[in-house]
Amino acid sequence: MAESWEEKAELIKEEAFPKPLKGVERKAQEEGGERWKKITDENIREALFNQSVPKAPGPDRLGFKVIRLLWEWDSPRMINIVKASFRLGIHSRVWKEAKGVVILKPNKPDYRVAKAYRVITLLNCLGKVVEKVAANGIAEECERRRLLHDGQFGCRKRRSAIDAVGRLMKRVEEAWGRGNTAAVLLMDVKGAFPHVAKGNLRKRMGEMGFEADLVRWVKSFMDDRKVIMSMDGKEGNSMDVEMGVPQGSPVSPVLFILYLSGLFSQVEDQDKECGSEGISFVDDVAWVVEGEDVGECTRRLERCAM
Amino acid sequence: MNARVRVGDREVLYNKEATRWLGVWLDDMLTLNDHTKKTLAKAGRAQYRVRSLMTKKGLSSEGCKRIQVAVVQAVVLYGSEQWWHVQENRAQEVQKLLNEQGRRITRCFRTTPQGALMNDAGLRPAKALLNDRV
Repeated sequence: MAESWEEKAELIKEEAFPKPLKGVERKAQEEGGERWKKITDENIREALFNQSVPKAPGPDRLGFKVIRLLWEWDSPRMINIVKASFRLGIHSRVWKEAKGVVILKPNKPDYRVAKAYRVITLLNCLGKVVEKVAANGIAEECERRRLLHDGQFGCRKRRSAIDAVGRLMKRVEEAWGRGNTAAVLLMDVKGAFPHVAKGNLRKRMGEMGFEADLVRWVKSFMDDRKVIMSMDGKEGNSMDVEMGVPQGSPVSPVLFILYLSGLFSQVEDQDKECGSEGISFVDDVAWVVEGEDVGECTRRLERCAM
Repeated sequence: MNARVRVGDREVLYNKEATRWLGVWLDDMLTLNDHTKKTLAKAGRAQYRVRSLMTKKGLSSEGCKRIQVAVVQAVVLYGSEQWWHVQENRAQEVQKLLNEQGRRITRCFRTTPQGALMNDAGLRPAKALLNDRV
């Protein structure tokens, strides 16, 4: 049982910012890449003006209103900063130090466990402009080259949670139409954002054919993160974050679905005859199978769960 | 039916009642009856709390209307794309909630004709709201 502020902070930190498993990380470094040349001034302007003004600022306490004013005064400088960030593949250290605000998750039975708390990472807003540019760029490339699995919903344009439910229902009704039974296995990705391993993500992005400078930027974005925990109105010391993407960054959701996208094709391909289909909304995953009776369906689901 | 699926060293049991996924209650036959019942009840409770703000905190009619549309109607319409196939009885149930909202906004009596009430309150009728989302 945690009593002091430090103990509580430590427990919540373990939950929200876990340590990576040893030996899981893969190392690879690639040179070159010309993705940064495709970033236009308009991309950057959009990334800034499409983020809402009243968002809470990070440790530098500069909100989007200030950044917008800065844009009016000296947009060329800001454009240069953003472009340089991608050209060099470096996300500046000042943007990686965040304030971690601890809030309660609603409707939890027991607030003595660390799982009942959510850590919202407040990032510096200028950094978020860079992250938004990256997020838009990655998302655009995903859609254009169809990199994501067709059953992935969430953080994507024209795909809402209800569309995911609709897809699931349609799939089941089709099975019924053929006189079969359908079964669904619902899964939850445990600690989704905090458990993204940067080595694996980088490898995955390389495989998907993202340009090296963008991959390097993502690596830099995830390296050496620091968080200052803020709880009960008191702030702690800055702590290192070794893995995961921060909750609260515009680029995190798209990085997460990229990270997860490999799962679907792998499960579906390993067992072609099993005919399972994955439908997901960010970290909620459903596997649908079709079979002649309940027994067959459960056997198939067991195979896909393996 | 007692289906179970083994996942690793755990077993997942078949859920007889409706299962909640992404905020939609999916039942055995995918009728979404449970879902509509639950969202209506939830919206009713929300409606009640907004209404109490008018008497307790002096919320204006205009403010009440905006909250009713933004909060309460959003709750009741969530997932309606999937169950709305122009069923008269379901539209009626939603309309009942809207009538209640309209009476609170306009402070009209229960006997006010529905059309006039909706018009005065500046609310759109249930069918229009449901059709818009599909």
